[in-house]
Amino acid sequence: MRLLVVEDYQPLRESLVQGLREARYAVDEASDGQTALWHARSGEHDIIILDIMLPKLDGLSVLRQLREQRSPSLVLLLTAKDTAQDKITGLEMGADDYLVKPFVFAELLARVKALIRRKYDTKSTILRIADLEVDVSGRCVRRGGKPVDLSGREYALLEYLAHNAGRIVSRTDIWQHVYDFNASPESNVVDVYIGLLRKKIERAGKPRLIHTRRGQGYLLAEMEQR
Amino acid sequence: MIRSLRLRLLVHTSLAAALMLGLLGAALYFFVRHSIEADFNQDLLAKAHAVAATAEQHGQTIIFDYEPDELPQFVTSDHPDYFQAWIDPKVVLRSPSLKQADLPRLPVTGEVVYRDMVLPDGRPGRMVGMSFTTTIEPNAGRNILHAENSRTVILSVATDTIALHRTLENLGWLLVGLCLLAVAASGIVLVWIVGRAVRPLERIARDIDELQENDLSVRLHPPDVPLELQPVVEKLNGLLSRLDAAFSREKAFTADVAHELRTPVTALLTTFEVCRSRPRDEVAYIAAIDKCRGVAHRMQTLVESLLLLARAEAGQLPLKLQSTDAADLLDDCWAMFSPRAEDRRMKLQWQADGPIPIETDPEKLRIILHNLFDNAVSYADEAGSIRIAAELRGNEFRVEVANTGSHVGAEQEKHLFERFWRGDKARAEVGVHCGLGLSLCQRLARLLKGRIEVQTAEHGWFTVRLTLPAGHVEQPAPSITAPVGSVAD
Repeated sequence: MRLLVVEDYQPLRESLVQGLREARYAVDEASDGQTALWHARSGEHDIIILDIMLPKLDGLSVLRQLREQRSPSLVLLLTAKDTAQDKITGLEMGADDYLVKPFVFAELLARVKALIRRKYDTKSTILRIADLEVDVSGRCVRRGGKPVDLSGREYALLEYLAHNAGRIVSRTDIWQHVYDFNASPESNVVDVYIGLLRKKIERAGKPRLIHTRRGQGYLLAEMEQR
Repeated sequence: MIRSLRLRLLVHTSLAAALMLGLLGAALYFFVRHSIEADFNQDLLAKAHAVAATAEQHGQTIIFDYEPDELPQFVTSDHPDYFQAWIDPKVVLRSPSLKQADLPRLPVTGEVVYRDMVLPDGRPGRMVGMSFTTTIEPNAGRNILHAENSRTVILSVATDTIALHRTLENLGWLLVGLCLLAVAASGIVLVWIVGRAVRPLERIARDIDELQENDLSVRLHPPDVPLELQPVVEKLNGLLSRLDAAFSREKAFTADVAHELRTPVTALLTTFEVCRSRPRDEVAYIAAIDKCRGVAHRMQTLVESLLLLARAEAGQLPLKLQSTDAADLLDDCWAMFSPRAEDRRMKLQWQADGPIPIETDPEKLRIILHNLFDNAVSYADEAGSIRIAAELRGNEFRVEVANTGSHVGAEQEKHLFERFWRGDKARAEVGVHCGLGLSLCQRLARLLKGRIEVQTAEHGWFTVRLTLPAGHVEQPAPSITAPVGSVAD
């Protein structure tokens, strides 16, 4: 899951980015409205955490432009103003949620998870594919009732695949939603992680769940063995 | 003292109306009474003349020649009139109604005299006294008196005044009744008139009463405001506007303060929570602590600036003027910022060599300079230039602090002194300034009876000019040390 944090106050932005990265999200950051729009244009962010009071272009203007561009990203507004009118304005302009400063980071995290469930249309916090269970809130994975130990990157990849279960996701999708821009997109990092993930969740005698579609990408689904 | 304006108007106008009506009634009464009495007297005199007309003189004899039915009221009436005639000093004739009684003989000297009296039968009455001269008739008749030539006869005629008194009494009561009616009617009319007159006042009072302290956007718009109340309404509306503006400013300010404090508080909370969420090494903990210290420092600056600003605006900052060397003060203040300026590889143009003796409040001036230097060092571009110039010009002390790399446009100049306004670029890149510095400087400059102006120019030069009165400090003579630290007022 890729997030964009837009906040002009540097200490707060740094801590938000750190906290979200440690929660295994890919995070981009911006300190003003224009940079935020530049980042968001690709539409690859699942959630944009957007402060309202921003230099150059305020948060509500950013939100309006995103909605005009029909950006698929969900927007969580951060606001220091707690009047009902501010909340109403934000929500009516197309924000998906809001949080009033000062907030508790755990609440921000919980709202981010809720927005991700909403985006991928999953009501439950546990995603099930055959006997594979991905507990999104507890961030743990079980196969056939037995826990599977995954690294943060592996988990993020599996959660993304699970949210898109039954759909083919391209390498580029995975790249954009799961990883920070630290490595070159040309590398085969995605294939390497898919390989590691397969080793950990595939069990002998059980059906394969991660399928490769040549030229298209990967698919997490329960399928008839051919 | 009557507190109600309506009641006071009513009582006073009613009293005045009653007094006027009373006076009018009395005047009318006396006028009518005078003419009725004049008529009565005229009638009485006519009776006397009728009696006198019957007198005839035959030689020495005076004869009153009348038949009883010619003057019946003197003869056979139930309520008779009376007359009596004298030829001095003898009574020559009495009316039959008098019988043996006498009427008083009035001292007649040619004029007609009237007198109120009690008639012989006890009724109240009035008497007229007159004199006339008889004419000589050749033949004698009855009632012969012997006289030579013409004789002067004195005649008193009396009649009762019962009808007169009754008429006057009726007139009096009629007028009293009419007056009371008129007073009552005018009272009712006055209640209505006064009510109409004070209605605009009551309407305004009601409008004022309906004003809510939490909604000051309402203005008084009473219809048909009388001219006398126009200034009151205008003044009130003006006052409301000013109050409204002040409260709105205060509200916006409170919201700004809340916003400015909420963001750093959120930063502190988030940093603590993220830091605490898992075990970390010492370096990470120290970094988090340093970050929080920086945030807390910003909050402290904000709170102190706010307090200073609030005190300055409430007039709670005492002014302590003293002789000061401004060049020294500039030097001292700059010392705090020169390391940061060197870090950012800035070029400094120093044009403030002293001594520059002025009389001012050095603590306030220090706060202003601190803010100006801080802004210049923070907002100048990397490796840019800063120019600090100070001079005495006439009675004015002038400091200019300028820096390059400004992104403030001419259209933004007017916002610079607003609380919590920050140039966008500055805000994004520095993030430690709370946006109170310049408004605080402006407030303090005003306190020092000076002014502060900003100027944007080509090539990103941004200049703040502080002008203060130099005070009454004599230029120090070269041989004498300037008095330093002496308190002047």
